[in-house]
Amino acid sequence: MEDEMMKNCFFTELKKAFGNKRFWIAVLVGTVISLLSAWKTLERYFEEMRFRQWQIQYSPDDYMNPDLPIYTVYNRWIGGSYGQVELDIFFLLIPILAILAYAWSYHEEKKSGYSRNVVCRTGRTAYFFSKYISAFLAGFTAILIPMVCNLMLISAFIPAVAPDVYYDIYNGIMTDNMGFQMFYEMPFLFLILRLTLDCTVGGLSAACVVALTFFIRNKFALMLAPFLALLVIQYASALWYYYVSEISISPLEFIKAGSRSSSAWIAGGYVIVIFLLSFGITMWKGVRDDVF
Amino acid sequence: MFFKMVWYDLKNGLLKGKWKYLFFMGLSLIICIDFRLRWNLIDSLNVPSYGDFLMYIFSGMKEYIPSPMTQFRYPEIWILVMLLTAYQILYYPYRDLSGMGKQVLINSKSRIGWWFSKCVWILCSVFVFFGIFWMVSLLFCLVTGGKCSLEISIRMYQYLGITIMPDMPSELNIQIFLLPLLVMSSLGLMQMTLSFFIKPFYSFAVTITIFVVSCYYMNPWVIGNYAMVQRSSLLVRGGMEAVHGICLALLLSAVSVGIGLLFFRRYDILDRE
Repeated sequence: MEDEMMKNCFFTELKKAFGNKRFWIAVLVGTVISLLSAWKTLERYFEEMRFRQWQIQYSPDDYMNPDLPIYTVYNRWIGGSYGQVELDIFFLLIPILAILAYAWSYHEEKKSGYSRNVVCRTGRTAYFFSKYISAFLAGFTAILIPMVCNLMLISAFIPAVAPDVYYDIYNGIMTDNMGFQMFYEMPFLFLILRLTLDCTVGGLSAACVVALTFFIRNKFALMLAPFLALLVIQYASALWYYYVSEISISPLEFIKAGSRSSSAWIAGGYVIVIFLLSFGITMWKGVRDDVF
Repeated sequence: MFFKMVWYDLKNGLLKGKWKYLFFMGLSLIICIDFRLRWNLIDSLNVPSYGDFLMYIFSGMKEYIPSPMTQFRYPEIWILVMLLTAYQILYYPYRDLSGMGKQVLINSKSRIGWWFSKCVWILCSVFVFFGIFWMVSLLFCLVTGGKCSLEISIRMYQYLGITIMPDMPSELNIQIFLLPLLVMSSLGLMQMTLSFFIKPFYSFAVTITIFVVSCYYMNPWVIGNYAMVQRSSLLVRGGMEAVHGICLALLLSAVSVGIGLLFFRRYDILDRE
């Protein structure tokens, strides 16, 4: 009976998360930005190819090296490229887009009294567990779809040539970046991990909002809290870089290519700590606090 | 009546909530301490001036020229100061309309008055938040034995990577005080107008986009450029002219206030959360 209740509640939440207008607005905005980034990349790629074609045709002696690793999917898709305005806007907006997807729902349901009705029927654990997971998944997907769209468009035109370490300046992955070795040895796995990390940052930003709803009443402050926190961490990271260590501690930085030194331990640490904190608070406060 | 409305806004939107002021003071103090520590490496023989402190906060970044060797880095302090200020002035007008402001609007019988009162509130708020940075820097400079002058040291220019020229200005008061204030105020007014069209959350996303674009492109039509002292025409070739910045900020403010007013006159105030 309880399992049935949990299942029903979970699927209802998922349906609400992926069927609401704001989720699709977030996906649309993210996709437009990521496609603009892809468009710009492809424009540059075709220009380069046209020049090479001209070179082969009219000056074949000068054409010695095709420099294939300069343009590869792995360093031109949104998670591998750098130095492009659309790309930086996208990465800065990740928390905002992810939160827009469904993170606001608990706050609205709490305010309207809807959550009381659901808790009465399904129980607290089922409701808060479903709410947390659906907010996370909606945030995760709101970032995943634009990034996959970008990847698909880029890979439709640019070959997936294996990255070459001799062309490292084009790759945005330096020796002190996390996953450096994997990028050159198993680039596709690196791509999947980068995609997962970026979407997880989105998902956790959204999940944090669910946890923060227990403490912050102002909807607007609540929805922007993760973004502002990341911005403050970005500044803290600059101080950290100058005074303590060259390894970046800013998630806004290490989720993209062309960043300062990064460490998988720090990234993993963030994911684990934020997950434990947000999930723990949601379940603990959700189960203990009175909904009336 | 109008002044009563302005006072009501200042009281409710600005005087309430001491935490935001403490946060801004704390942030500016951290920035000042950070700068003072860096100064020991910049010029250990001389003390920094008040102008150097402000230059550190509002300098922004140099023109970004994309190449495989140069990776884009946000000017962390500048973007933090700008976005936090933009955040502080974003929500109050919208929230007020769904609360007490609605009663004020109905009793005052003047939508124009209500709108202008909110515009005045934005200007005052930006002044107050920037004023915190100015005051904390001044106090910190005095307490730590810095020079109480707006003069910017040659060493500071060198630290920021600005090419030293013979006719280098020693003071940049318009670029440091006036332009960031004007740019932020005009963007605040634009943000408020947009909030009524597309809700504050989306309007804040637009502001973020404008600031990121400003960092990327040194273009006279991208308003954020004028708030970065490092991009002034007095310091770099092809930089931003202060006069253009003032005109653009005033134009954006006038357009935002005008469009907002036209829109707000027919705005359904009952249809709010």
